[in-house]
Amino acid sequence: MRLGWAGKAAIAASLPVVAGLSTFLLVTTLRVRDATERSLDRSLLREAIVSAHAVARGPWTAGELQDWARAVGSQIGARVTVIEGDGTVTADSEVPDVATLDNHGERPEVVGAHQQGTAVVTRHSHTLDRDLLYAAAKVPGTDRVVRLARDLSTVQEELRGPVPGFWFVALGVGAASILMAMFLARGLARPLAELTEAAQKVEGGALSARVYPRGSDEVARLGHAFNRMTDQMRETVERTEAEAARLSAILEGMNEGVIAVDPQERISFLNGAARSILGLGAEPDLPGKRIYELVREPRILGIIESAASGRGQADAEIGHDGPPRSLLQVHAAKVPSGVILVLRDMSRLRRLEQMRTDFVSNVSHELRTPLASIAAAVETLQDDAVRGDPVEGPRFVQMIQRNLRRLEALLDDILALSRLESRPETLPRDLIDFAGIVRVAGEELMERARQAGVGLSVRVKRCPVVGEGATLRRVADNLLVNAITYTPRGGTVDVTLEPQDGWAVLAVRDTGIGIPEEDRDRIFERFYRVDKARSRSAGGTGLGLAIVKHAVGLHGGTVEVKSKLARGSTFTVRIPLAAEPAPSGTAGDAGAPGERTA
Amino acid sequence: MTRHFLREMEQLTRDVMVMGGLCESAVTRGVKAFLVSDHVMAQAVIDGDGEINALELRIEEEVLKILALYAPTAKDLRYVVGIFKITNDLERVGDLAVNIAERALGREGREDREGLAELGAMGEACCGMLRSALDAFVKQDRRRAEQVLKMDDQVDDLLAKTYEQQRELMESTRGDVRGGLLILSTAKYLERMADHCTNVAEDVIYMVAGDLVRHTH
Repeated sequence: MRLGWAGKAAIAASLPVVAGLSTFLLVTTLRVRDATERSLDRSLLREAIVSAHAVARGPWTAGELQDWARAVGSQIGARVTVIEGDGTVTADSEVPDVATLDNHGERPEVVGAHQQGTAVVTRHSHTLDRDLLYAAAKVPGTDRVVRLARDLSTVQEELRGPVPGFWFVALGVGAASILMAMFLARGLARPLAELTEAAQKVEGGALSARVYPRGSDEVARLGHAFNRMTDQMRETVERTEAEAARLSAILEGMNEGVIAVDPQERISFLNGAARSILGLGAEPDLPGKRIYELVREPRILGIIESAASGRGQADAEIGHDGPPRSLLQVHAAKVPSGVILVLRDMSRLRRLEQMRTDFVSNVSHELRTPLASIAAAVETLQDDAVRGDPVEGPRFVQMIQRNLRRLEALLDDILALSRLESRPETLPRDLIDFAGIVRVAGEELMERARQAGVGLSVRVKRCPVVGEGATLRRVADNLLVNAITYTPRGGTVDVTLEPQDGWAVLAVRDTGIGIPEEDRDRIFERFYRVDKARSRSAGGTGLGLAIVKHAVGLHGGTVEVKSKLARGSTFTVRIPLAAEPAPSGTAGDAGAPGERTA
Repeated sequence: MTRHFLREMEQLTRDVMVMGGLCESAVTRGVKAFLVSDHVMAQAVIDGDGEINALELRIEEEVLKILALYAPTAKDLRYVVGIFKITNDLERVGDLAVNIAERALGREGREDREGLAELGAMGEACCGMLRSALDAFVKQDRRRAEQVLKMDDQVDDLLAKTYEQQRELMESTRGDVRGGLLILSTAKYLERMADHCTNVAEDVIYMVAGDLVRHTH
């Protein structure tokens, strides 16, 4: 059993009490014994003096002396011996035949009596073989000595032990003081134990643990202080946790990969973006691993090293061989806990930059071609002979007209696209019936389909959607014109629109030439043409599908294409249905479709 | 001493990983330089080999130091000895990447030749093997190392196919013998590279399990 604080206090408090008490009792016992012995000495001496005076009344015969000695000895309970001046014993109360006794002249008490008249000595009697008290007195007027001896052993026996009951008292007092000390200590220890328990709970994470102190003593004050401290701690921990959660949410939400490594290059943190940039997928237990176990790119390791060695921040642009292959901008900074690495995937940015450059050069190219034709025609028409020619003159004027229309269509599409791209929030949000728009578009293109020798059928069901009529009209026009353009004479274009699971689904099926698989992902890019010569001769600007994709995207929808070479293509547009039915008659206000016929 | 030993072992592992990363990059870029006849990239691969060789020397020195100072036993001993051998193979991989880059320098203006696709596939397979072998090493993953051994057959098949294809091309009248030889020798380099990757994987298995799987499969 472990001695608690209370037990120790009890023992500590009662030890001096018990020790003091014992000392007191022992001292008392010794003094009592001492006093008793001294009074025994004195009384024996007095008896010896009295006896000596009695002997002085003599002269007695040896027989009389012997009888007297025996009588007195038995009366006072002591051995009575009469010793002559030369040391011979003339009478002894316990030895009838005194002649057998040796000379007593050298006995210390006898020597003392001769010198001072009386003497008391305690010594071992050879005759009786025990400790005896001897008292001797000189008989007045003679050199005789009367000696008395008394056995002290019984008295000593009685005095040897401590005072009767001493042990009971000592034990009782000791036990009582221990109990009282324990009681007091318990009163102190209970609140301390409660405090300990609460502290252990806090240590285990239960920051709501409290103590309930009673009274206003020191321990209670400690309890109140503990409660306040725990409150403060909980506040601090909550604040820290919120901070950490916010930080980790920010880090997780970043596009840049963030990796923190400690001075031993062990990963201590890594966000989702870093995982995907480095192609680590869902590899488990990344924190704790060494960075070189995951990234072998020597330049990334080199940047970490140079940042860790205190040369401040390090930057580099790295073509990470992968997987996945990418262009990375790496930035490393030394922090007290190691190195923070920020990875930025530049490949997307580069691709966007490339797309922008491509777009500008494409636009310039697309605009230059009709302009060049117009310039050439105008130059030719400056020749009077050509201008006057009834055949050539109108031909060049028509050429100018055709190219002007083309320029117009191009600029129209570019403006539409740029409007869709730059300010999507200005798109009107009207409740309209997509069916009306598709029906009108189909009716207006019926004649063109007939001229191309393509059978156009349009079947629509009411599909209320929220959006801009003109933009949706452009979507329908572009898809239908595309389908008619790329379907050979004798083919069919089948347009259906119907509500499906909360979507307005517009499907444009043609039996046209189809789209090669490798181009299917790219046909929605601006100016991308599967067959460049054919597309331009057919009058397309190369922007139609890009506009469709953007417009559908702005309406919260998707567009996809399925195609088989030489069998036909199906474009499917899905736009979320509006909750309420559209009022009829709003379909007719669609803007005029761009002129696409050459 | 244990702490010093552990730190030295970590440094050793890190150096092997850096060397492996340099080799990976050299192989990837060497093959790419050959495929698209990029002389600048080829020259960069050739120039970069010095770094790989310097690392090999450093790692060998570290290995000898660890053996002499700490006298490692059991798994630690296998690990250190394994690294000694892996380093050797990696250095050869780097040399082969340089050889391929040198062939790339000889491929002036010869674009779009039959067989390049197969060569590209071989290059991909080799890079994959090297990557898997290094991953297996750093994770001490026996399963991944065994996968590398299986991938070697794929490279051998591709070499046989390339060989057959180039032979037919050279036999036909339109054959360009010089280009064909370039492709063939590069394919051979790649096949040898795959063998070195296999060696690395075998050493990893030895490190992890103590089994000698060389010459048994």
